[in-house]
Amino acid sequence: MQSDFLSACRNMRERMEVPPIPMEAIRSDAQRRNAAVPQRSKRRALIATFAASMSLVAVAAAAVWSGTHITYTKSGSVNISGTTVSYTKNPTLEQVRAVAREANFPVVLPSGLPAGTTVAGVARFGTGALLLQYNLPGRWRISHHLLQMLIANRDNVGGAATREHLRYTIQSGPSQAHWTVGHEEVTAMGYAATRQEIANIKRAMSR
Amino acid sequence: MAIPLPAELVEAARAGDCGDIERLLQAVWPDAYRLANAILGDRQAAEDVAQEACIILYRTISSLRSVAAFRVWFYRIVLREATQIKQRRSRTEPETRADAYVQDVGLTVDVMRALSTLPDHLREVVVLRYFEELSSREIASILRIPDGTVRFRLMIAKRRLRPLLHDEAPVHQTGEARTNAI
Repeated sequence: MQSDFLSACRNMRERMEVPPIPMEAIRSDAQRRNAAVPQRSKRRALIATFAASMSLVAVAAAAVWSGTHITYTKSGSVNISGTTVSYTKNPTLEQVRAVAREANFPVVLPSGLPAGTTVAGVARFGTGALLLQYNLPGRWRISHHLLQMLIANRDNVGGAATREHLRYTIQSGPSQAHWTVGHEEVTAMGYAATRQEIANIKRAMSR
Repeated sequence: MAIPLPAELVEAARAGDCGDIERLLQAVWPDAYRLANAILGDRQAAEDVAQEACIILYRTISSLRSVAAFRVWFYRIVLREATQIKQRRSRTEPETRADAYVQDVGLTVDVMRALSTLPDHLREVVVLRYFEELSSREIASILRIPDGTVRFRLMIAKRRLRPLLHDEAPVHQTGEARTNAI
C-alpha cells in the first residue's frame, strides 16, 4: 500500500490547482493588525511570551517607578514589579553576560545545572533583577522542561516599596526554592527541576 | 514535497524588508495552500488558512529565532490555522464527510475520500508523511509529539486506509468519482 499511496499523494499534490496569492489583502491585513495593537497590549504580549508560568497582575497606564521590586506571597509565588522589561529568546552566552553586566548588583549566574541544559531566554526587569529560562534535558520532562530562575538584587526584595506608580506586576507560579548568594536573591520557579538538581545548583552557586 | 526554500530568502525576510517578506510569501503560498487543502479537503477553507498563515508570517517573521527553524515554524502555523478554522466551521456547519471535499480537476478522489475517513490526529500525520514527505522525526518536531507516537499513528492510519485504497488502483485524472472507489 505504501508506495502506491505515496505515488497517489504525490500525483494529487502536483495536480492540485493553486489559486493566486492575495498579496494585497495579506499586506493590508498585516499592516492593519500591527497598527491596531496598542502599547499596553504589546507589553502584555512581550511579558506573555516569556512568562509561561506567570500572570500579569497589573499594568498601569503611567508609571514612574524607582527600580525593580520583588516580593514573595504566602503561597510561595513571586511578584515582580517594575517599569521596564525586556526579553531575549534563545540568547547566546554573551547576551546573557551582557544582561548580567547591566544589573545594579554583582550577578552570580546559575551554575551546576544538569548536563545538556540550554538557555531558552533571558528577561531583564530594570536593573534590579533578571530571569533566566532553561530548557532542561530528559525525554521524561517532555511537557515540563522549563526551569525559570529569578536573580534579584537582595536590596530590591521584600519590604515596603517606595513608588509613585507601577508600570507592571508579574506574579509567578509557585517557587520551588529561594536562597541568597552574595548580594542576590535566587529563586527557582516551577517544578521542572528535581530537588536534587536544585540542591546541586545551590551548591555550585555558593562555591 | 516538503517546503524547500533558499536560506537567503528566509534570512532576508527575517531582516524585515517588506519586499523580501513578500518574495518569501510568494514562495511558500503554494505549499501552504496544498497542505491546508489536504488537511481540510476544502478549497475555500484552504485559501483562508493559507492567507491567515501568510499574514502571521508577514507580522512575525522577524521574531523567528533561526533560518533553520523556519520550516517547522511555518508548518505549525498552517496546521494550527487549519485546526482553528475546522473548529469554527464544525460549530456552525455539520460536516458531511462525503460532501466535505470539493472535487477538483486532477485531485485523486480515492486519496481524498480515504483521508476524510481519518480523525484529525491521524490525518495530520498521514498528510505530513505522504503528502509533504517528511520524516517521522520532522513530523514529531512539528506536532510536538514523540517520534514513537508519530510512527504509531501512521501504523494505525495505514491499517484504516488499506481497505479503502486498492494497491493497483489507477490514479484518477479527472474529478469524477469511481463508482467502486470505496
